[in-house]
Amino acid sequence: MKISLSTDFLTGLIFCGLGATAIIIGSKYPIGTAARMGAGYFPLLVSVGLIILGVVLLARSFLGETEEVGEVDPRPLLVMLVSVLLFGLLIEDWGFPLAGAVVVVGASLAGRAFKPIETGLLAVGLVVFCTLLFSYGLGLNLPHTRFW
Amino acid sequence: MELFNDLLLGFSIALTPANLAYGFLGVLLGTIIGVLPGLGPVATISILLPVTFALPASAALIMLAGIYYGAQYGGSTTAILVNLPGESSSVVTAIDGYQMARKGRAGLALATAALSSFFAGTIATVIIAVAAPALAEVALDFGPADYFSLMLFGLIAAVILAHGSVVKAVGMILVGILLGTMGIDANTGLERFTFGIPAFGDGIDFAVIAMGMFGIGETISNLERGGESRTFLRGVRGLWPSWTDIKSIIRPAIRGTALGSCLGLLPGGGPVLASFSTYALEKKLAKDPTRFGKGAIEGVAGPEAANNAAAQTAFIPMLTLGLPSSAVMALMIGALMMQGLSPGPQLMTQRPDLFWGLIASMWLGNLMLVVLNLPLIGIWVKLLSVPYRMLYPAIMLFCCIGVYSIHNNALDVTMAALFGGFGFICHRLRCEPAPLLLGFILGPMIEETLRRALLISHGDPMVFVQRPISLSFLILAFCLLVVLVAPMIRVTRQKAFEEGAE
Amino acid sequence: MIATRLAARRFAGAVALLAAGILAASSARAQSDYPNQPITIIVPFAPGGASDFAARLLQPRLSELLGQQIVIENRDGAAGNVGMDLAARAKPDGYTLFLGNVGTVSINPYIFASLRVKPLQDFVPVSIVADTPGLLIANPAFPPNNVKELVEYVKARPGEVNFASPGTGSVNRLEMESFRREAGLDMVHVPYKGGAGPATADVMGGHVSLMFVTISSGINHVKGGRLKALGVSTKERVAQLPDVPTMTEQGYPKSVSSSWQGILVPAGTPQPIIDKLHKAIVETMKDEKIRARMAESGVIAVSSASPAEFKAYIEADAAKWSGVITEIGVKAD
Repeated sequence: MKISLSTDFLTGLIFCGLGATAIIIGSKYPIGTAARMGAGYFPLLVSVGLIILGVVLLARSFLGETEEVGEVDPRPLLVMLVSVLLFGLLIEDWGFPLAGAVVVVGASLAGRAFKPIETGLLAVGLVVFCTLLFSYGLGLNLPHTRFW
Repeated sequence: MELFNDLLLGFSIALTPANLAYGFLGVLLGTIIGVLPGLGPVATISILLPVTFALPASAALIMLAGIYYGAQYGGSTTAILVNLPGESSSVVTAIDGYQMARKGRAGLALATAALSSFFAGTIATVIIAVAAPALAEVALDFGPADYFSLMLFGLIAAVILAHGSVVKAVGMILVGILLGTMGIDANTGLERFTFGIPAFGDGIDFAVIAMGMFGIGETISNLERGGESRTFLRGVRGLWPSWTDIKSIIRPAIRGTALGSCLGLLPGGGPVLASFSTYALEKKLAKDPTRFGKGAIEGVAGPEAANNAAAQTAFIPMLTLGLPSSAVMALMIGALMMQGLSPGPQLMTQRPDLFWGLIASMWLGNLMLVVLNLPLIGIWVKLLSVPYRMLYPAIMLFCCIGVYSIHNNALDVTMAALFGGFGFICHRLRCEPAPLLLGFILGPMIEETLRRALLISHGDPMVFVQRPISLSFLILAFCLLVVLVAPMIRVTRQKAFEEGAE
Repeated sequence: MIATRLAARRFAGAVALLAAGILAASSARAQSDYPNQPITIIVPFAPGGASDFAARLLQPRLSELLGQQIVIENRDGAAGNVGMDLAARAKPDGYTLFLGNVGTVSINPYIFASLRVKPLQDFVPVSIVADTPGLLIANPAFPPNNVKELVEYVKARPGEVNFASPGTGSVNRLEMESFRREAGLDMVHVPYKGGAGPATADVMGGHVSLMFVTISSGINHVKGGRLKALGVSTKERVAQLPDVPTMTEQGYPKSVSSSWQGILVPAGTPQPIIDKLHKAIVETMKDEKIRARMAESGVIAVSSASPAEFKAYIEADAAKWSGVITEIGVKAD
């Protein structure tokens, strides 16, 4: 996937977008006065600043030549995010050992050097190590699996 | 002479075999949990606090102090090795420390961190022993307006951290500040940007953003560049600092210690503010500032000395006045109360054994940290020779465990994943995560002190220039701004002239 | 740990549903031999705080009396609401207790509109355990030396005097608001966060003039001369500060309030279990060592004559604070 837009342009869009979203959500917070600032005063100030910077970046991207984003491989991004999200989904109901193994295997899959046996061993080894160290050694509350 | 006797009493308490053992245990436990990304000193002490209730008061306090230093130091280790700042004060260490590691100088970076921390710890201990009561008075003089001006100065200094575009760095600071406004507004009790989720009432945890943007985001970018087939480390050189290295770290360490010792007295973000103002200072003082962000040894030595000195002097308001200047110090006060002791000025006179024992153990704790960590450096560096394709899944697993363990809340893991995605996007857009994190840490304090100062002055903005402390910081901030902006204007004008000439 | 235990209980519940008859029999037996497994006390604040302090002080004796291990779980967050929510949803079997306080039970429901828990309905009170009166403190350089002088001073300078508080919805802020109303004073509220420490520091530094704190966080500074005390919010003077007059003595009888801590259980907990717990807690709070340790920190060890008395106490307390909250209009939604 090749993105030929400039980094300045996209950053400007993100800054403007975040600023605008914050202003819209924050519009229901009372602004107050400088002496007695309401909950909305400070976020509004910051959001406006963010939008101004976003506009500067957008303008710069049209005026001058800036670096393009270039080639982006979405695979590591997607696979890694899904595996971390799965960890979050699995940990409470299925326990740490399963969730931990999933994240190790998922992370390995996100790269291009996936080796099934090595990854399997790594997953088991890491999960056992972490359970011993963190659950038993340091007393962190990692949920146990429901299978044993 | 009295000081000598007091210190002698302190060492006689701290050097009993049992107290030495508890101190060592504390440093060890602190280091182990501190190395786990996500769990910083506050979480570590909360987890281990109940264990100390059964101990005698001096042992409990010595062990807790050990955990504190250990956890603080452990955070720097992961920051250097794998670019994971485990707690807020090691964000700055990650910038150049990690770059040193990538260039095969991980051992040197770790040794630099350990040695400058020890140096700072020693000096700061002496400062506490000599001047604690006097310094506590100075801390009390700091009002909300003064604190606001200091924070403003700090934020402008944060721009120097960036080695890319200044506009993007300022933007990232603002995004960080905006993220910091999430949660229940302290002044009105209103929930801001919580999307109706109760767990967002306290805002997002620092570690969630740090793990997401640094840990997960950085790993995704490495993979995207095809980094998984590489071994992280190529050609280890210089495990130990050479004489030239020592010469280049000694000055930054001294400056860092001085800045850190002062800023540590102030409530809130002492160590953070200390570490990055030192970084900013070193970058400005350097003959070749372009080396910063690419593995400059001064960028590790200065901030590490600063955050350790600040961590140490943070004890002063707690010990002499019974006032906590940070969450960790509040926990220490809780621990004292469980022992039936109340911290405050009377602690020094009623229980000199405890007071001086703790001070002596501070230095011993720092010593143990060096003794424990210098030999460990070899092991850490070996760990980096594991092929990256096996190392990064382990890092991901540690990130997940660390983030989950903060509140035992799966939502935090989800948020970390989202920040991981955002971190990757920022990376590709050449936006750096460090300014965002600093904005996130300082933002809430800026808002709080700004609103409080104006409430107290009944809306009169002159309060910021009438108070001498505040005015000095504002003048400093203005000078810094000029230093920052001047070269940009020069460049633009130069460009304009060149274009005009064509 | 809670999560696993809840999961385990969900599983246990499913098995039990298969044999409803056995369930009835076994639950009757479970009540008579209660407690037969470790009991958890959920403390909705971090270790080292006032609530944690109370819980850990009574833990060993209570455990001894009940003959079971007692586990303290600190589940902090959102002004105690996270822990309260968790406790309210726990199985009402007497194995999950909640250490409630004035903030979570009597104040939060009227401040946080998004709070799902209705403490008065979702919990059954068992007994109060600790009582910490409020102390009106001021910077030593602040001219008034007692409440009468304070009222005159503020009345002569409407809107000029600032008072601090540990938080917008904190009991100390509400104590001041209630007094302010009673005396008809116009002062500016300067909220802080992160406990009494930062606010007390600014009163000590002279940046803000006065505030209410719990006796436990103010007593040392008053004894050390860094702060002066203008009044206590008890009916009678407190033993640790015999020279400080009460607010009532000084003409403000409505300014009687305290920060309390007490044990509650989820609604639906069988009465015999509540009674057994109540008896054990009353016994625990009689312990001389516990009373002495609490007194050292300015906390009074107390217990309720019956669960019903504690319920009446909480209801009156909640009514009082909700009244103040509506009047001054603190609201978060």
